Amino acid sequence: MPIRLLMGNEAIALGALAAGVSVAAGYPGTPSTEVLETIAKELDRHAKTGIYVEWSVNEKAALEVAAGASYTGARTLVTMKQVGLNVASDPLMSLAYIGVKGGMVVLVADDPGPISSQTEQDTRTFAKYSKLPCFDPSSPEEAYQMIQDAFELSEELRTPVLFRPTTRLCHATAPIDVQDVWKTVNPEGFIKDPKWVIFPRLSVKAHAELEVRNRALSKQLSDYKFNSVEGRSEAFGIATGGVCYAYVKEALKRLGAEWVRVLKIATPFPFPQPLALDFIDSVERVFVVEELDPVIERELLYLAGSSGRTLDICGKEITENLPASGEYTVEMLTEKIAAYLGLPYEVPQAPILPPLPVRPPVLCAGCPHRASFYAVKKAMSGKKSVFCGDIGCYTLGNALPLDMVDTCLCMGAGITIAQGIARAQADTTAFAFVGDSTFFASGITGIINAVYNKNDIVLIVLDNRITAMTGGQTHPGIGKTLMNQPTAALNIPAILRSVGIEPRVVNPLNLGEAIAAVKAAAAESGVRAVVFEYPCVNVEKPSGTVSVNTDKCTGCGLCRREIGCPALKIGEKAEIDGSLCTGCSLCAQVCPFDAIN
Amino acid sequence: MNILICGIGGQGVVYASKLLANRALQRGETVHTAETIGMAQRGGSVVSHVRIGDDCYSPLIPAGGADIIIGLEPAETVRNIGYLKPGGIVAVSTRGVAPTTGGDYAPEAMLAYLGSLNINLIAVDAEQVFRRDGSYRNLNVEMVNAVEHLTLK
Ligand code: SF4
Ligand code: SF4
Repeated sequence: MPIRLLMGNEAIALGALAAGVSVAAGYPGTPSTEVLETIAKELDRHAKTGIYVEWSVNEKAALEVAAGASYTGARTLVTMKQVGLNVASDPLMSLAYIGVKGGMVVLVADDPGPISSQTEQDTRTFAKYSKLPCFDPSSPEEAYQMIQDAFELSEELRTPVLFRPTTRLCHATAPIDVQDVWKTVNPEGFIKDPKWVIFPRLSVKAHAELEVRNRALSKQLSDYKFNSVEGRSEAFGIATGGVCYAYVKEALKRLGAEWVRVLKIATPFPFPQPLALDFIDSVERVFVVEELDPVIERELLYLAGSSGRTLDICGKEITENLPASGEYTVEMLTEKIAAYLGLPYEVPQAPILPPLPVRPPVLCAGCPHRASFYAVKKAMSGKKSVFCGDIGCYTLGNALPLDMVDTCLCMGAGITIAQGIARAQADTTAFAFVGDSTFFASGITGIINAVYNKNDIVLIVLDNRITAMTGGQTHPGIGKTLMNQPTAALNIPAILRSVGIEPRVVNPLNLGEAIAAVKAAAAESGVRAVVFEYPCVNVEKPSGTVSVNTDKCTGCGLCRREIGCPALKIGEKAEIDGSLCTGCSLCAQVCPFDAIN
Repeated sequence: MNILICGIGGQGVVYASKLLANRALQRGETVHTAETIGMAQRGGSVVSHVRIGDDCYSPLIPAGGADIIIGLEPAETVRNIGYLKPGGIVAVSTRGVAPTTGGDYAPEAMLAYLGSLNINLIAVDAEQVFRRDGSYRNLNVEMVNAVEHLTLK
């Protein structure tokens, strides 16, 4: 078996393939995106047929596609980031009652920090709420094995199972012994049965069964190999799980305190109670180390309290030894664990640094969104307007100097928030910006809401022909599937026309036309739309750059101040970084001295 | 051996760490890495951690734990200097990249700061790469090669 250097997400994908997954669906979202991409690549590499993988239109669609396939007995995988679970929660909550036939794993990647997300929600808490078993791997190596166990458990219990890695695991790489033989599952097929139809009468029964099952599972999972106890101390215990287990091990190594008894929780729900009780009984105090919600901490407190044990349990909630939010680090944990153990530890002095430049992420050089935002900004200058943004690269339109995103909430929300603002504040022109992928994922419903209710908004579609933020995934407007098959390319202007909106379709890099289109749309009432069409610079690699005519350039710096393109630098005169510039010519159109061509 | 690679999104930090890690794997070593993937890749600060050896648990290098820092940009190198072991090696590209959101910054001040520390400082001239290739795109690979050449014999 070959050892391969795999990213956590790649390990999860290969583990799922080894477990015999045959239908996989998801929606791109950092840090989960690479799982499905890896499956697609592996299918190519092995020239494998009979396995299907898709980018669904959103997470809800993905989960339902997978559920249907599982009803036939196929093994299925669904992938999303944690906020995607909010979108998919409607089918998932009911599916918990209905159950599945083929093993079904719902991978939800959490993002402590958050590093690339809107919230710090904890999927372990969602597991308890939805009553679904949840696996929480602590390393890419473990994730590769654990996802296979998750499929087995799912199929054994006929329930969807949650699998919850976090960013540091998804994007860490490790050498992994990969099985090249994939399990073959022969689905029995869909058997008609009233049990597939959810009804209150059925749900009463199903709910009761879930509670019984989860109680039994708490015992069964106490013997699960990745729920473990190590170390020999009879005084000091640490309870942890997920990537925090790796941090704890590193901290204990640095402190020379590997004797501490460590409880690792790989299945936060159902919580392995018998194992945890044994652990509680083997030590005098427990320090709970976990990012996000105090899931393990509450379980231990509940267990100790309800069984009359007396011991000290400290963590983040009651004793506030650890921060309630944010990502943890080995440094922080080394200090906290040393204090807990009463060990001497000199906290390394953070060096005193000179003032550093602040570097928020920005739109790429030549990004067509820059031109679109700039055109709207120019067109509306001096007029009372609100710019409702959305999720994607174009959220970065908030940065100076563009400063064109006034609100951003969740996928598709810009369109509907703009309607609310316009209803409550009639003297304001409400703009809604939406990207092409978001338009398909959850924009269309909001647009129909606007038309139906005669709401007053200017919709700006930023169509750059890709799901750019997550690294360039296809979507329904592209004409290609994740498996590289040609398919219908849905046309956004045609969709808008079909609901009665006549959009203005413009190339944003033609600044004059773009400004005129926005002005004209703003002057009308009702639902108006401007569709800016130009591909992301990472889709069609542009060739060519502009150059500065140093005789004409006065060095005023207006071009950079206005549009903030990273390829522009102002010294004595404007300078173009030829390795970044795409030749989009926006700066040339902004320069009042005609000094750039 | 812990190596930290830092720079700005778009400079190829992730690629550089994959290169280092795969070469270590081919030499038969155990290697773990952690990368910045996501929003920061659009011109923000980006860091990769490469950990070679059997005794690493955390995917990230702890503060004060890096033997080597490969810095593709002076200010980013300074930002991450707390990761360096006392007396560790720093290979830094001397070419500064100003933040696009405005505000000027002097890379010379960063290099002077690095020069004042008790470290093993190697300054790399990115312009040489530019003169050869007409772009800075291969700076990441050149710096990985240079550091491997220095440390792995
Ligand atoms: S990746 Fe594409 S869409 Fe995103 S900022 Fe760059 S050019 Fe714009
Ligand atoms: S043409 Fe101007 S605005 Fe466009 S990428 Fe080049 S420098 Fe930036």
